Amino acid sequence: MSDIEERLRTGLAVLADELAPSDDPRAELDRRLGARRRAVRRAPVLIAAAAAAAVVAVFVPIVASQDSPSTGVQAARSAPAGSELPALGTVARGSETLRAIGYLDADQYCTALEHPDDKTIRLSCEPVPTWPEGPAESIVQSREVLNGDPADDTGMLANRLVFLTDPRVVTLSVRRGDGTAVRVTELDRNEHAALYLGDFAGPPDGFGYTARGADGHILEEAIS
Amino acid sequence: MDTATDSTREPRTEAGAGFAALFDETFEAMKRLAFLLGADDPENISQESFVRLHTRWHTLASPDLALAYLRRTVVNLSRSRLRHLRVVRHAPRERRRDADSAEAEVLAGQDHHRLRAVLAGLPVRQRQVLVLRYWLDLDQNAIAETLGIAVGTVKATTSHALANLRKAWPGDPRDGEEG
Repeated sequence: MSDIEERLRTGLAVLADELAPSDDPRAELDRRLGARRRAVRRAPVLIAAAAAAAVVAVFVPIVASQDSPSTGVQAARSAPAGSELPALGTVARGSETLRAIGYLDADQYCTALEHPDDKTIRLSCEPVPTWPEGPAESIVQSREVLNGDPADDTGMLANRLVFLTDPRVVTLSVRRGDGTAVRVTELDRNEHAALYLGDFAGPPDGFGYTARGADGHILEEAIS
Repeated sequence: MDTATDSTREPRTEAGAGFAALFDETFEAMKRLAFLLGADDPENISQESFVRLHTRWHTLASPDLALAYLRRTVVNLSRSRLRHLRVVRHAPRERRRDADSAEAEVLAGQDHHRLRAVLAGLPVRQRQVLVLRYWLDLDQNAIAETLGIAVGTVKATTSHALANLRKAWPGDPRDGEEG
């Protein structure tokens, strides 16, 4: 083994040891698994409630526009059609087309794949970030759709990104690397976070975004 | 009866003792793997990876495949976070830029901290092969399987990564110090 390889092996071991052992990670795992199971049990209820949510969604932009007359509608709330939860896209599996959904469940961001019969076949939830008060940390986080699972990130989903933001963000505009606008849809929102979907219509290599608050001022801006 | 409490006390019955043992043996290693790959939330990534493994445990052809699935998931989740970090670090914030610069000067004095900066500057794939090879001690076949690429690509990527490393991390930093 060469000197550089020996140094690398030693250096990586030292870096890895900088991380302190977690405090009771099994308790956290139990909490997550419990939350996921409860979410799975609740999924049919959510689907049934989506039709009612569609009615509410019609009124949300109207109320919002009264509060923020200066902002353009760059990320309109998508009203779920029929019994649909917010869709991230579709995934081909053999002869079937599965629907990828994403939504906020209290302080969890959840994704799932649905069979055509609306049966959830996989559901994954992660805690939404604890958003910082000051400007030192970001209040916008991007995620590959279905969080980078290579089995799912093909075709349509590979051209889209999910954006989780602080709920103070009411308008999110996203640009490609060449400056052209990306189609952004607000999928969900609660007191913990807002959830947006950006459709790049191509590989999202390099992008920028502007997140604005209710009064139209810029909360965060970033470019790649 | 508090069913929620019941479900959180016995969450691993489906996956069984094999899953529990794997969690105890490898949680910290998976967390450190995410950290070395550049993730800003390695604990969350390790936890999420085990949740996904738990969900798919019954679909594994053999429990022996669980560790490989776990590694792939950690790598993929870390990649998702890397994209986020690349954007945020280019955000036009003067205060952050100053802080980063000062931090970089301090860290430059120590070899392993220099290594951290060098790793951050490598292409993602090169960083992945170095960490999997020289920290996790995976052979080329296992690296290829983890990253979903050909063994030949692993060899070439490792070679390029080491060449870049030699240029960006040239020898013991104490060589240039006084005393």
